[in-house]
Amino acid sequence: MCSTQVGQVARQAFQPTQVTWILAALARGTSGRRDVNRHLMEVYAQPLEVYVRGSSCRWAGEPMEIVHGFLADRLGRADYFEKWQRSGLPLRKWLINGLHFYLREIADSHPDALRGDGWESLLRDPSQGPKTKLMVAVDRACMATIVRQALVDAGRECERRGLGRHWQAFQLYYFRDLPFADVACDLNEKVEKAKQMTRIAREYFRSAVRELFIRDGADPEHVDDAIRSLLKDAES
Amino acid sequence: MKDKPSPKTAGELPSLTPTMASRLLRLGLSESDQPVDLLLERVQAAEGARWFASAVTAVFGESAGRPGAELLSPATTLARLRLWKRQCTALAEQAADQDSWLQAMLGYFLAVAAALAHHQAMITDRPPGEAQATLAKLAAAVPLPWSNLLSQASRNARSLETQTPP
Repeated sequence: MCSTQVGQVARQAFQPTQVTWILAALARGTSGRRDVNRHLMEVYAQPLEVYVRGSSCRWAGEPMEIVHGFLADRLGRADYFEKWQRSGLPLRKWLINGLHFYLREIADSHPDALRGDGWESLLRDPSQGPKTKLMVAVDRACMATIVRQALVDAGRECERRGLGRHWQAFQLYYFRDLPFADVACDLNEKVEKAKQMTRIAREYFRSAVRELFIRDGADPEHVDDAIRSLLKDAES
Repeated sequence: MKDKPSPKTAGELPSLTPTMASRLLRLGLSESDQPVDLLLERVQAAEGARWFASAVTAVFGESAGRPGAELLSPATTLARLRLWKRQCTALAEQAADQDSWLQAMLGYFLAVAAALAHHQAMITDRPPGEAQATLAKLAAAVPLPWSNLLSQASRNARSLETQTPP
């Protein structure tokens, strides 16, 4: 599949008309804004930081401070996330575009700091043109943070439901790559039971991953497309 | 093995290589070979409605010529539905062929649906969101009055999910 087709699939997977979790949260006022800020920091701060580190704006300050400044600025704009929803873009692409323009705003106020290639690269829209190494790195960071957040969410949910040992089985099997016989031995269970426990915990993890994609605008009917699009973008 | 607390923040998790992150992210994809998909295939095949009625009768019996009448009754207790669900799990594990296995899986889903529809209770460890999606898929494929039972169950699962505290 070429990059244009992937882009089309990504757009089809994101539904400009649905009421997203982010817009619903922002409508709740201060507490909702805090929730959105926490979500953006947990899932997107690291990929955005990767983008700043790879850009020609390293002179502008600590990358994570720039990311904080960017998110605070955009969260303060009433229509920023409404425009995102209308764009039909995955949130990660919308934020990277926004960060790119934020860096240009910083550069505009420091005209002497950028010269030659640096300015040229800042003028390029990251959502256009061929896939760059920087964008692959950003998408990989995004994939990692989504997976990590889903692990945290699923682990909490399993624990809350009294399925902590199921979650241990999942971790032993998927993180430590233990065969089921060893997972069963570690948990003092029969092999069939260990398989069942892992399968149940895996369903919680699957739900957590899918919930994160829906939260960030994916059409619930096309979450698979949104996941495949990120997997494709993160390939070198 | 001692119980270890689950990680509360991403920072407490082991580091993720791109390969591991990709492998884990793929777990988020839906599986085409899940029991419900195989069940849907069977119910929607030729003679699917006849197969459905005979499967319900085989698992739950019939009353006055109505297959699974007890399952459709709100008077059926939660304990009875739990027992049926456990029996269906055992039947699925012992099934000698695919058809018997599908019958048992159908019984499992219907017992879970009846508990949700009549008692607003989840009798499975599966996440409510997953149960909601599965039951909605089945509701669209089975004949009346079962589609009504499954639709109600799906709505109740959705409601339970939204009531779940974060």
